[in-house]
Amino acid sequence: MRLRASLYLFVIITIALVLITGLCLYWSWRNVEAALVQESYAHQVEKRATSLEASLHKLASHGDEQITADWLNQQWELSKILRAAPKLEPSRQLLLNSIVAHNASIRVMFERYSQLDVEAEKNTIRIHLSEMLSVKMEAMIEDSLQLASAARRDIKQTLPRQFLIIAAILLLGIVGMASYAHHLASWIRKTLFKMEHAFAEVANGKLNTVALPRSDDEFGDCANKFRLMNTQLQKTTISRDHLQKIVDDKTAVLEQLANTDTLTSVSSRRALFNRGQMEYSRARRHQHSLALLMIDVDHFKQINDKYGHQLGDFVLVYLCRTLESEVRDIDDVGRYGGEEFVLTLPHATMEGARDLGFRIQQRLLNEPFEQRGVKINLTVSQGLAVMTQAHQSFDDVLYDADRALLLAKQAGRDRLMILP
Amino acid sequence: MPALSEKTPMFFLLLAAAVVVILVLWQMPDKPFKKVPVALNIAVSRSPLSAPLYVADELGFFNPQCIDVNLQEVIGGKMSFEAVVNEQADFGTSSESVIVFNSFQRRDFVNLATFVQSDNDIKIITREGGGIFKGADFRGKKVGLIKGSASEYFFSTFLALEGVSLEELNIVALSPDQLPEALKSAAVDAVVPWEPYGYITVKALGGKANVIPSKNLYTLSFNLITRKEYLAAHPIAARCVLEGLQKAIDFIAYEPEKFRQILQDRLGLDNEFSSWIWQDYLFKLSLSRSLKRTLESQARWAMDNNLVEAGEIPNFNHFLNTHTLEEMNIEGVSFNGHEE
Repeated sequence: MRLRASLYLFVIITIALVLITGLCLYWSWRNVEAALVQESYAHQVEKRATSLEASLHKLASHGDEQITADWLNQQWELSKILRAAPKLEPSRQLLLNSIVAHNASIRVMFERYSQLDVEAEKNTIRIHLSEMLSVKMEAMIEDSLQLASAARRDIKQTLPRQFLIIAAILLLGIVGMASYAHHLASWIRKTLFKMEHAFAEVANGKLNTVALPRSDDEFGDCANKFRLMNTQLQKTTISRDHLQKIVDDKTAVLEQLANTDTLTSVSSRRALFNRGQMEYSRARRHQHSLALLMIDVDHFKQINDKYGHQLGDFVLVYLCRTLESEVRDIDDVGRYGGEEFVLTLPHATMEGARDLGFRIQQRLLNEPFEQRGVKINLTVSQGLAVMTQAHQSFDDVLYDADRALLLAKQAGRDRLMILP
Repeated sequence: MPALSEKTPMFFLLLAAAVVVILVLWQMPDKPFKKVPVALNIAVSRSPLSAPLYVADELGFFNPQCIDVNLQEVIGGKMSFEAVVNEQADFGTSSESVIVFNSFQRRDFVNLATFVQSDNDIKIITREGGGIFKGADFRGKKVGLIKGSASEYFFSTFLALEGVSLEELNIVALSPDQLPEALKSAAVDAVVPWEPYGYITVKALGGKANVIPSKNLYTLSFNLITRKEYLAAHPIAARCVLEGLQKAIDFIAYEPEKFRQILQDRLGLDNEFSSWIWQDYLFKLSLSRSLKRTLESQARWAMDNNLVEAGEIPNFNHFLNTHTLEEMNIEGVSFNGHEE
């Protein structure tokens, strides 16, 4: 059942309970009121009948026209009261019918009694009739007392019975409503807990682990929309860690692209300087050596002019592969620009760097470039500079390496020069 | 929203059952219970006055676990009384007049309850053209009535109101069922029957009957009597009979039309009879002080008018037993059985 329907039902049942209790109270009040009216009426009748009996005794002792008239008047008053009786249930109506019958009898009997000769010698019939009249009135009083007693009994029985019924209805109703309210509250609490848990899972990026039960109530509607949202989120949203990984990967790729010369795949000029400055700082900090070997391809312009730029590119690639094969792992090969390359040699001595330069030269001599049927004996000019105390920065060392290269060029190329 | 747990409806069922049980036990009256029912006979006067007994018998209001009732129809309360004292019946139905007349001779019976009263049960019926219109006209006439019964008592008081005594006319003692034919055949000039014999008499005369107005002059009561020794031996049976009567009286109050039909069927009479007697009878269980005074008054009258042999006024405390009605919490008991 839907929550709204459940709440409506709860309200309706509460209203029904209140109505039933109200009806019971109203019914009790009506019953008690009717019984009180009945009792009051019965007492009225009893009072009149008692008064009639007293008048009859007076009449019996000293017959008198005035007393007779009074008696008849009282009897007429009693008849009026009997005609205005309240509505009674059949068993009570029986008593009233008896009183009415007695009243009719005493009227008839009194009329006969009045006609009897008071002074007659043998007035046994008068005495007897007087006795029977008195008995009749006593019977009326008995019936009216019984009517009053019945009314009191009704009150006595109605009140506790109605109290018990109302108490039972209220008890059942309260227990039922409390149980239902508890059930409702428990369901709402569990539902909110599940939703809270689901939100927490989503907040933690665990979109795949969210599972809400299916139902055809408001919670079910909410859960369905949540599932839909979750599905969309899974499609369009990347988790933070994953995103970070993507960013890191992309950043790495970009860095890689930024730091790599696209033609030769050696370090780009940017990376060359970054690496160089880093090695310079490290060398300074740890007091170890740093050598830079600047290498330039001899007559590269002619190669380009003669064989084309494409072959020229192959030559540069060939050179870089040769340089990479000769250097150590800790060394860096970077393209300074055009056909100039710089080898950054941390922990390298002058001698070591020079030996490296000679090996490179020898290697190029022994293994000429050969591509597409073109064979070129490559030579390179090399300038070597080793970091000294005079160098204030990497640029200073590089400057010296460049000057050394220039010397090598000026000296006829295909050689290594060290700046003095 | 998920359904309520399985335990919840069971809890409510148990709670509701507990409430119902409490209510039922609280309302359940204290009833006597006898495993072996007592077989008994009730001598019932064939009269509308016996209606509660007819209804109780017809509708099974006598508890079959308590008593096994057999109704024996008799003609008149006097015969019913005789059946009881002669041990041909265990209970009987008699008017207060029968009780009065017999109280001068015996003390072996009791009245357990009055269950009906009527101010028009006994009729004084003459033939048209018989010249009898008032009490004085009865002088020298023959009148058929039931001796030693309400018929005799009522007629004697009726005459006395007109200054006539029974000695001034010829009383012919007949049984109730003989009265219609007696009047029709002119064996008598008037009859004093109770119902249904009043109705039967009028019908027998085919419209030539004259009913002298006498309603309200005398209120007859009909009573349930039994032998004292029987009551002492079977107090629970007596209570069961009265309980059946009370149920029948309640039925008569709440279902008057159904009651009419039962009465007609039992007495073998038609709708016209019901209309003839309707509202002349008031059914209720009681044993009142006014009854005792009535008995005493009638006893005095009977003595003063030589309707019985001279003697003392009986002490009617001996003939009224209120215990059973008091046990049933009947409110119509206004007579204190311990009065002297």
